[in-house]
Amino acid sequence: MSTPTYNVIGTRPIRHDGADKVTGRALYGADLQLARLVHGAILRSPHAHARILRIDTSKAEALPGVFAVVTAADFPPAPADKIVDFGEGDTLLSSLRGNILASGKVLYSGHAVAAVAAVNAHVAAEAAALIDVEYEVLPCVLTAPAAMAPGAPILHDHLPNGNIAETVRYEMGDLAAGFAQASLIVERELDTATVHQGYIEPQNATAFWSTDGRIQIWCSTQGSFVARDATAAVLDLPVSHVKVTPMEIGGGFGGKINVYLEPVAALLSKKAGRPVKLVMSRRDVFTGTGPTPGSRVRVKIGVNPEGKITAAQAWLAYEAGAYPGAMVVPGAMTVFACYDIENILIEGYDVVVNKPSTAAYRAPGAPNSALATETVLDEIAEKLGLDPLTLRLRNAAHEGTRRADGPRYKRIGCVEVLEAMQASPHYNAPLPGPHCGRGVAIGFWFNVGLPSSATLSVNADGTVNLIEGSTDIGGSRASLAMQAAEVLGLRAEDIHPTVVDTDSVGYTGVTGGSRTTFSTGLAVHDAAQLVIAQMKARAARLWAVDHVDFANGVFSANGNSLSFAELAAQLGATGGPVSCSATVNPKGVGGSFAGLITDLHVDPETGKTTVLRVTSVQDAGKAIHPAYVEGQMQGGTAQGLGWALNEEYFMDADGDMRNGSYLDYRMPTALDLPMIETIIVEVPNPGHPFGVRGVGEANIVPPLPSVANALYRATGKRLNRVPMNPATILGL
Amino acid sequence: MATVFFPTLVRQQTGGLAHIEVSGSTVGELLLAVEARFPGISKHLLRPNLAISVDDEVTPLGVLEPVRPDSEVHFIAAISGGK
Repeated sequence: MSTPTYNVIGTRPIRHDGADKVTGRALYGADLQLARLVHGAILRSPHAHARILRIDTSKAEALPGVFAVVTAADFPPAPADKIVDFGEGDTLLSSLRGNILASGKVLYSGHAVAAVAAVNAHVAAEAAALIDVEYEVLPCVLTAPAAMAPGAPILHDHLPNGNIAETVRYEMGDLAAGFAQASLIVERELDTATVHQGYIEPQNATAFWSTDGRIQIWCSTQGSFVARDATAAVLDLPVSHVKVTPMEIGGGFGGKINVYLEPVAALLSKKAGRPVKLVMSRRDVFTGTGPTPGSRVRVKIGVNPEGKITAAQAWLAYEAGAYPGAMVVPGAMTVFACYDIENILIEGYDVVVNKPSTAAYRAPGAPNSALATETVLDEIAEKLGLDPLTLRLRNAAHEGTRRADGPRYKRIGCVEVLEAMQASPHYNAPLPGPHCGRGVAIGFWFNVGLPSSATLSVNADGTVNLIEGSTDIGGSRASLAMQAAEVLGLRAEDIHPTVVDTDSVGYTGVTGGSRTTFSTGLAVHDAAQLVIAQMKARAARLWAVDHVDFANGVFSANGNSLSFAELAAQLGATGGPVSCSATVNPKGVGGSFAGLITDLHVDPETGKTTVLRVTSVQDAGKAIHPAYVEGQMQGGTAQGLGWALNEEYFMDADGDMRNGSYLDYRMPTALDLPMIETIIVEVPNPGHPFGVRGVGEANIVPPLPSVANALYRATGKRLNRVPMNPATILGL
Repeated sequence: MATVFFPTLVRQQTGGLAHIEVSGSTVGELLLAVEARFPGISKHLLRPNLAISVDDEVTPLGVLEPVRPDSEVHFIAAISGGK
């Protein structure tokens, strides 16, 4: 099959929002100023588990400068069992509201209890401290195994099975027969700690509840329409009564899909009669938003003498945090997703504990489960005397492989990623000396479709305005503009992308699920095709012909020709402006595989790990803007290395987080990491006109096991707990 | 006939049967046939947190998705994601 040639796709233009970002002109939520704006503060629970006996807000309300105080009692009445559905899963309204403002019980230290709006943030904080809450402190439970044990404190009375909110189970083939065929069986159990996405910009929201009953919200969100729909559901309003304007976003990684502040700011605004701004502190972010689950995963794999997997079994227990919804389902779906295995049993448990309610984090659930699978395979490779990548290649998933959850893969690039790792200069280079180790691992993440919309409007100077609703987290303005430019025969710089509010563009799903360049890209592609069709009709009218050709940005017919810009200048005389919209809800998503090679050195005296060299390999389908694909790979790898080596919520026995600042929560910095090398593999996704696969997530899956395997080679120890920090390495 | 696969945890409604062959031109028609065989099973399959996969692709059309005589239908977890 021939490889398509492109003019714009595959190049590296400067991002459209680059100048605003580097000069500080870009407006983030905390920058927003409005007439008569007042400021809010949230009162949070000091207890991980307690019954709320009484809330007295009278002293706060009496403080000069205070405009409003709200609690969960200010939510409109709704049935306790009402379900809300945002098109990506259902949620109990009581859980959604309960996490925003606690009612009846607090379920984690940091749980929001009440909020204040005042003339400035200082008065608001002072007033919040005057709210008197009487608690009956209850015993707390902090890990999934402890919460599943008999006699554990129960968080929710409505769950039928103690603290187990959901069970997932996948079965294929005959597990017992598969293990009976094995000549070698390895089983291991590994724990991971709760970690946070660690985005730079804290959550924020400004709301104005107008006297006409409509609410305007400005916030930092990965999905303006989801924020709109969730806020409307919480406040029991029609979605058309809420308009959300997404401000620039300083990172999200899945953590800015849920709403925390938006409905609270709206309630405060309704009472205050003014716009109200809420901005979280870093501690609020750590303790009041959703980290990713801590987990325990047990994996057992059997192989025959040739290294072919004959059976695989997994048991997963993930901490949901305070409310159901841990990422155990995708963890279970991906635990063996890289391999072609006939006999499988996977059991997973979503377990509520007294920690913040968890949220998505880049390939949510997959790193936890891949850690166990990939370290077990590493041990098997060692015991068989096989190269670890060769073992994986002998079992790699391919087109037609059936996943444990049922469907078979379309065209995928798992084998190509493994081959690229094996052929890489890094894998074939020697290690630099003693106490060094090299580890490899691979991982998989789905892509999702979901609706997206876009509008393209042709300007008389030959440029094109692109209106879209996808929050730009990692360069999507550029990747979308480039797809429009490719179709229209223009330069990327000729497309002017703008991310607009929910009243100004068709429904668009979240920037999540590695979907934006794929799905919104499809909407842009389709809108561009409509523009070409309309422009052809204008040229046909101009030249009095029936058929017009378009290639490389030039319209032509019967010896006539006009460039896109030349024809754009004549639109006014040929029928008026051209503006075309498209909305998609696509199939054709293509999953992405990623691999990581990690070299590291361990100081045998201190247990300090130094990452020496890492190479990230990922199938991008077709890299629209290779620099931003590389950026995603480097970002996911850096986060994964931090997760593997250092990051962790330190909780005391009472469930209080003791390291809720970036001074104490040890994320890697540029000083901790080498340059992250990247190899982009391109196995085009047949479900997209340019072959796009989403690249935002799969890259965070392999770092945990890649590091674990490298640490084993460096120290001779198979560690069973992440983070693999000096204390874990030294067995302290 | 098309094949409808049951999620593992729904198989308690089917007596342990993992899949069934039924006729129909859409997922909805297949489900009517499945419901006739296992009354009440549809409510376990048509849930917001389950996506419908036809011939290995999640379909946004759900029960309206056309199927072929040799199609495979799965009910899988709806995935969103984090980036």
